[in-house]
Amino acid sequence: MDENVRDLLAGVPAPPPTRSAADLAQVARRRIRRRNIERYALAGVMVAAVAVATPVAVANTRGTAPNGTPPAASPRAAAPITQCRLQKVALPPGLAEKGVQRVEPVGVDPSGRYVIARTWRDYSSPAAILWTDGRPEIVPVQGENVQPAAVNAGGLVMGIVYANGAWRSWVYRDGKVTQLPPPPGHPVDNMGLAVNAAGDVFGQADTPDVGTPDLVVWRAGNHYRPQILTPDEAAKVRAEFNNEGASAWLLTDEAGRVNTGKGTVAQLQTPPGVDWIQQTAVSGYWATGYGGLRAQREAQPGGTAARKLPYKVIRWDLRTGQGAVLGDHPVYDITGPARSPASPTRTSTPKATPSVPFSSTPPAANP
Amino acid sequence: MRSEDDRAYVEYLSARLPWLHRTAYLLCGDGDRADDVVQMTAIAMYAHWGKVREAENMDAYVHRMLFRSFLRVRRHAWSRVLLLNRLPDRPTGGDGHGVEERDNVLRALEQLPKGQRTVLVLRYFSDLSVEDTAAVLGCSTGTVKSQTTKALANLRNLIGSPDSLRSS
Repeated sequence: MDENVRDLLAGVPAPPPTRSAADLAQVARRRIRRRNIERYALAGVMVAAVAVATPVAVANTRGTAPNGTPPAASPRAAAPITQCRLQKVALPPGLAEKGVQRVEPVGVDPSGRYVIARTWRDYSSPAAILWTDGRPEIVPVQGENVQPAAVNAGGLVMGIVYANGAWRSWVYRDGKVTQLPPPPGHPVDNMGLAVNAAGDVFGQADTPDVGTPDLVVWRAGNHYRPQILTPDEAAKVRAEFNNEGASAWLLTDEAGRVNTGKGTVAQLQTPPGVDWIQQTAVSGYWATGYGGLRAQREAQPGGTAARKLPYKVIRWDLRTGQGAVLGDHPVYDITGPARSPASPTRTSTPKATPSVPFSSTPPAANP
Repeated sequence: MRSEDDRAYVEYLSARLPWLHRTAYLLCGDGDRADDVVQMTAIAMYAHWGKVREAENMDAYVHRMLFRSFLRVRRHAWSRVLLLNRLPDRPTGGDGHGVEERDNVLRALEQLPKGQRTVLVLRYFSDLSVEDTAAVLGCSTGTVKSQTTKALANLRNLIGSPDSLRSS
């Protein structure tokens, strides 16, 4: 009867929480305080953007300014990224009216022409945004929690959406949304993780009865028919996708900590000029985020004064853990591969330091 | 947050922490992810403490936050990393090695479909009513009932104790 089930569940040996309630509360206070500051700052910028078309700052990882040139014939021919420069782009109109409180860029293609972001309204994410050469558009995906996950150099956006009680993946290109069908026997959640230059999508699909999902690839050249991968096939396909999906590197909620994807968590170093940092995105060998000085933050709590907070945009080299300040804009989030097939950093021997136990294994080469 | 609200928040969190963590662990099957879920829940509670405090059923309200945090952790790239670096485990079937696994309730929970596992945890560990469980999951009470029946049947099969579990 019910009591048996209760006893069974109560008897499951569970590890104790690793943090005390006081620690959890302290983190919650810090996070909410920081969120409020960012919200005030970004809300101010957004309202200004909507009202008078003042752009909000995001980052472009390209060495040159975006322009109206068409997409490169071969995405792999993108120029090596030699420098980063902050650039302002406009927000789509009407976001403030829809209750959007935060815009969080989550990806950029290897060429830097395309940037994707998700919008946040409290804990929901109502929309995905794509910028093409700085021109914004809302990705017209129907459903709850529309989230872009990656964009390739051809401008194809891949993401996930919660619809009809399950997570589904989609791709968007040239005004058309294509839902990726779940593989046969996998009617539950499926999530795209990465997209390659050809527009293929690599992801995972849950089965009703197995705890761990299967890995799957949806090939653009095969009308996105899903193909479940064996472990051997999965290894090959992962190499194909390289790190474009950034899925091998992961963030935690803790400031400055990055999951290496190999079972370890490493601490990013705080660069000169700041004494707190917050990582926001990782891809390949690079992580990005922002930071500042505690004294300045605490001296300007909330309100419009928060807009003047001199946030620093930071990029870290995951092979060394060292961070470099890129600029002073109040940017919330940037991300980008910050590398190209021709980049010398990909063939150089990474330097591992004892304090940053990242893997020194370079990623597989693009086919 | 006012100091008295902050104090009440910490008191509630302190009292409920073992229970929240255990619920998260039963949902996730992983201690680290359970920590993440609880941390996210604590943040959400702090952000909406006024609503939590005024909720008719505080525990059910917090459960809703916990469940949403669980979904967020699941779809977060953290879980993707674990999944991508651990190739799918396939069921071993009736090869004789599964006997020990079936004695492990957690293992059995892991093999249940997520919806069934969640319903079991919320109803039988967290003691939520059918109605509260439906509210947490955002589905109908009929779905909760049918998921419960299926979950109990599957759990019975997985742990090999046909007499110890019956659908209520």
